[in-house]
Amino acid sequence: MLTKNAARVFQVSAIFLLLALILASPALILSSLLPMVFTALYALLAWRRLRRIEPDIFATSLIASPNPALVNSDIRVKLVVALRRDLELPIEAQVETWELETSGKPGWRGVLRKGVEAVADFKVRSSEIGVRLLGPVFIALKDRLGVAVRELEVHPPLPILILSEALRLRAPAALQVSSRSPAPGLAENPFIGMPEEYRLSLPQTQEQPARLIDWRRTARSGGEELYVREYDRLRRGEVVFGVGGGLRVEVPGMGVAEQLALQPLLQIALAHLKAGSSPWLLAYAGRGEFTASPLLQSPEGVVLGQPQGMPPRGSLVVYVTRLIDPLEAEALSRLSKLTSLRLLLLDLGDGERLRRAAGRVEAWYSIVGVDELPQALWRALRVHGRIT
Amino acid sequence: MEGAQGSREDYLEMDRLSILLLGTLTLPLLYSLLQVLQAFESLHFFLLLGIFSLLMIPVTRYLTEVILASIYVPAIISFLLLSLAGRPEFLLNLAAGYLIAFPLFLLLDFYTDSSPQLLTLIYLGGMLLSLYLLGFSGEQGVHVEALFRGLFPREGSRLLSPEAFSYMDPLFAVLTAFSTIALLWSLLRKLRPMESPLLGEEVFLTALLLSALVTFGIAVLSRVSGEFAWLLTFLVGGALALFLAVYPRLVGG
Repeated sequence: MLTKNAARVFQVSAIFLLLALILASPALILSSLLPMVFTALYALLAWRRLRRIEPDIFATSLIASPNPALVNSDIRVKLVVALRRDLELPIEAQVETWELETSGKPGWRGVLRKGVEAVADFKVRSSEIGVRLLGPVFIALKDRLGVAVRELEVHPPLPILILSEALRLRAPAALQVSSRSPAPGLAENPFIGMPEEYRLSLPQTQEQPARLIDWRRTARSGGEELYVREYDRLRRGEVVFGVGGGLRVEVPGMGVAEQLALQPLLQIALAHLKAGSSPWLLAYAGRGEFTASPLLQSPEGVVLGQPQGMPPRGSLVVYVTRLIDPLEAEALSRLSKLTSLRLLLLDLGDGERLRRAAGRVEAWYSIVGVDELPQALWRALRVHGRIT
Repeated sequence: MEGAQGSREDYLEMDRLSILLLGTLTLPLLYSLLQVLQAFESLHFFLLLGIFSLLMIPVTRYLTEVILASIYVPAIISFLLLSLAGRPEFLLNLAAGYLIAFPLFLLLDFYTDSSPQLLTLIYLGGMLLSLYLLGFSGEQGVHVEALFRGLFPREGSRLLSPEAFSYMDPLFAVLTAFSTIALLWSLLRKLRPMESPLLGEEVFLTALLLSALVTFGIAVLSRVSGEFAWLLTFLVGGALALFLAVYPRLVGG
């Protein structure tokens, strides 16, 4: 409610007021009482005004480039904040960077007006492989005298994929589908689709590519009509790959659990991307909140798009976690109501605990060891009934 | 030394309002300084030198020559006189001069560069020391030893005893009222992040009016019933602190 400086002024005045009361000194009482009373009254009145301001009056963009990035390499970050309404507000914008090493000032301070952009450029890097969160972006909204302040969260955390050279995202040249029931969003043939997607054959009058022609049906019609296969679109590739909490632990002889989980997740995500769908990356941001970003194909390669608080509604979410944080379990229960959630609980010798924790989450789950994770991921994705 | 010199804002560079506010802020401190000087039995040259030299430091922006001439030279001379001639009065008077000028020195030195909270601390701390010094003005023939003796608990401390502060000079009270307003104005100038006319702010005017009414009401009440005013001040102070601690949690701030 009070800015740091105003709060300190209040504290100093309060201490001297107490001292003045002990000493029964009228002059000192009045000198310390006036700043105290003014600060408190002004803060109350100004704060009532600040409460009327909604976070959506700020247009915020947080861009990290490159993302995915290599371990121990600089990632350039640009924060842009603009006002949507014709106002003049003293603000302090701050990007939380506690998961990353930061060089430069991750924030901006000043008076923001409509038509003026607040821009902060800085760099971050990570010495560890995994999903690191940049953000959320907070705005400390101050009144004109700098006495009262209100904090707003204006941008969700941005997941940054930190990869090693070996794990670097390269779209596969050819897609191998070993199963007869490939995952949703993953086309056996990007031109015609999977057998499961086949819906009906329709007569066509125009000339069609030979591979789309339903030759059997055309033959049954005596060759009078040309039948072409029509395929249902899959769920527009809304497959979400999630990385939860408790994975930043070393698995003896194998490496960090988060890295071990990411490797197969990214391979499958890339396969989906190659097949023309748009997979998402979901990360647990702590405090019972998630952040989700789409994996996109750009001229520079695979990039993570702008984050959202939640993945698309109705999407299939495959989420690897150890369910350490009780708030994460609650958040997953909420997520399972909006999406088709498949939990893969990584067993690092605490299977019994995982079983108990999973009981609190209303979702399909499977407890798997680190070496079983790639197969478990494929299993979790093969869900025919969920295809819409 | 160069760094310190470079960080201080020149008084000549201050705008007129800042000079006016600083001048008003120093009024009660200056008044108590003059009052305590009048109370001394005799004014020693080293006492005046102590006051003058300390005040010259911020005014000359830590000029090396001034510091050497006004601080080191008198200090060395007084030490030599104490150790060689066995005469402590030079050192005592010099130290008394420093003590008397200290609140003014702090305010002059830190006014431009300090944070709002530091300015409040310096001003109120200076007021406390000034009130302590003002307590001597009611006495006649004060010796410099008495100033120091009153600071130490074993010698019957006056510094934190209500008796030392019960003396209330009407002129000092008026100057304090003006300087408190100047303090508030200075704090707002330091706090505010944007240049906009303060008097055009409805919220500012409302808060200023209400806080002035509360303070003035307590001041008037203290003339009628000191105990009741004391109790009311205690309750107001406590209620404000409690309000600021609890209210944001209640409304989700």
